[in-house]
Amino acid sequence: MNIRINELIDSRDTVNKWLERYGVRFGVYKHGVFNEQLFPFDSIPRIISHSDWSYLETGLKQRVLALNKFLWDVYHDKRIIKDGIIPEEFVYSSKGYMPECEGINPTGEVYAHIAGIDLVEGKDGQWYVLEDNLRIPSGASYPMIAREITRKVSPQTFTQNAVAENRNYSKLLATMMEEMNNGRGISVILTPGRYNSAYFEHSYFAEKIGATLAYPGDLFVEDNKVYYAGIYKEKTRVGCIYRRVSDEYIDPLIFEASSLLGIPNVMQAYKSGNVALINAIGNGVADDKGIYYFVPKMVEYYLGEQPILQNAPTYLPYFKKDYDYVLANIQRLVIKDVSEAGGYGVVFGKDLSKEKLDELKALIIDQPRRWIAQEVIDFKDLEILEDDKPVERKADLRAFVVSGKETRVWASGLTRFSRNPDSFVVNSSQGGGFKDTWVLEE
Amino acid sequence: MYNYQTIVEFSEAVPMHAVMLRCQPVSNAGQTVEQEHLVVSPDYWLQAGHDAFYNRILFGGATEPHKTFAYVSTGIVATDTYVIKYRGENLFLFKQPTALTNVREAVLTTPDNVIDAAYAICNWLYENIVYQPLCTTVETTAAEVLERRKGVCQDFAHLMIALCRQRDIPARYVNGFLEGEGETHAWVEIFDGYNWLGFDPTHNRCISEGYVKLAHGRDVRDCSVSRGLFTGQATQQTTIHVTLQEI
Repeated sequence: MNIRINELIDSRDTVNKWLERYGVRFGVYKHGVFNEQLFPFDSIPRIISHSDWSYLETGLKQRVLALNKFLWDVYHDKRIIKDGIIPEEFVYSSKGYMPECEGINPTGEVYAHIAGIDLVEGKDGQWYVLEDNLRIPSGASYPMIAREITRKVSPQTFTQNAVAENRNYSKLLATMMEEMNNGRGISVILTPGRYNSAYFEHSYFAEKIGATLAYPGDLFVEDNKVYYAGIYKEKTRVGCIYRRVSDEYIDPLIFEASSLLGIPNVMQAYKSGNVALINAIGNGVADDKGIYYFVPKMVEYYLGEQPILQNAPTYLPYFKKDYDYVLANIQRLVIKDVSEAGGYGVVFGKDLSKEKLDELKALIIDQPRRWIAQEVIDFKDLEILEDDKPVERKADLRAFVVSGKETRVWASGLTRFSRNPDSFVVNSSQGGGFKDTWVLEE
Repeated sequence: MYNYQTIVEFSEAVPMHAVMLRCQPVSNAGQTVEQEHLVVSPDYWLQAGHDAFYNRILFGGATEPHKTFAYVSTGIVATDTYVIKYRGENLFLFKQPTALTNVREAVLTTPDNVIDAAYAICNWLYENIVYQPLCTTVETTAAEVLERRKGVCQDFAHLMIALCRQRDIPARYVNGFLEGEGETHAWVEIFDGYNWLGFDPTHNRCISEGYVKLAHGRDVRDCSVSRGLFTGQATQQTTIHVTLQEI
């Protein structure tokens, strides 16, 4: 192990400059205004030991396998509801549950082809899952391109340290898409366009995996099959769409009628097995903040195994016992609104005034199902450079799990940190930065 | 015998038009489709399928520039007593208010018995809401109807559904044909623990016979007879003609 830390520190500005030139940006819509911001890169990597990684890898595979089985079950037999493991209201009142997906058999029975699992490491060295992202999780492109550039700026770093390769993510994606495509046609990445927050990622992956980058209007359905309209109006059959358009906009004839981002009738082609959609439609029911509580139970239920990864200690006010506990301890818990995403709708009891706490309590009393509460995990800080001086900040890790015929974990991930010393919220949409994640080989 | 005709005319040629239709009656315990015919503009491809609530749908479109889209759905349906067997539908979805069927305030007190409650709600609507064409839109919510006290069949149905769901009675929106000429009609089905029963709040009655059902769902959004999307700058003009005649 020979981390040339000074060289890495010195490389920071150069790498950030190159990231800027490559257009590594993050678009944020707030109050109706679109702003692009750079995604600041911190050059000190997060390092995960080989043994920690083996543990995480096994745990992540197990978790994603169970989540995929849960999604199949929800849209087919509903055993887990009938057997009383999950109350039906948590499933059917979830905004992510789509009755339109009932009975659809996605190719290979896979729903969450790309899962982004957000973890934190506690001060005690224990890892906790904070959130499962099973719809269209983004972020893998950032550590990929940052490593690509760092490798050029400081090549010795990677010849002298046994850091697991991260360039294979493109291969993981390409293989999975090929397996789901099943020879039906070309594979495309459907982007909403350059005003999407993750547009950089869409174009980067299209280039890396050799898929066509399709914009709204490029794809259409004819005779229940999907085609790509080329610039000369030629038709090319499409077999697999890695769609970066959310469920409610994917088919204006089924969902949001005003959507100009989707493909009319694509749901019919999908239902008939004529095209694979990556990720499947309807996954939101499994990464709902309310369903999160039940994921360890899914592992036991579907796989008959003990869950390897832990959830953060979570309470559902829906249950009487938890309801009493949450109302009594609200001032030291994190309260999350299950209908919000991206770090919005998350409040820390300790930050609230007496009046605000009472308002929040009233909301919980009014609609218990809408809220979850969690213990504040004292997670390990990571060093980042602030004006060239190392300081400690909160950070999480988004691990990427790719499921095609097999489930594979990418030996890297997106480490996001909060630049605000008092904040636990690391979401990029809230102004955080990122680091590379090194997984050490034996 | 029913006849449903639609002509969509575009002000200029559109390069692409995709459609989804729910214009063919289903066979169920209350009605049997004995004959049906469908005529569609020849440049459209169309396939049959089912939606999330097992309604019959036709979906398709045209991908060459064109200026019109027309179809006629016609046939003969034998109707029987309007009692529709429960076939394992997810009742939770019909008990949960949607954006269009969400009323939180208490409007009236009703008997505990589900059927008596449905009659009471129907009657209350008939006495308190005025039928007035063109005063609402397809987006009008049950809460707005309650406030303004007027509406058309869709609004009566939404408000009845909202009031049933308040009481945990599974209720669904139904779209179909009623004897006469004009447009499609909307009514409500409630679940009495065994079967789905039809109520027509616009006419204040429990449905016995003579209604031809096209589709049901959580609210009107699940039941639209026709949904479409085209590209280009054209404006569209749609002419619909519906008849249902006893033969």
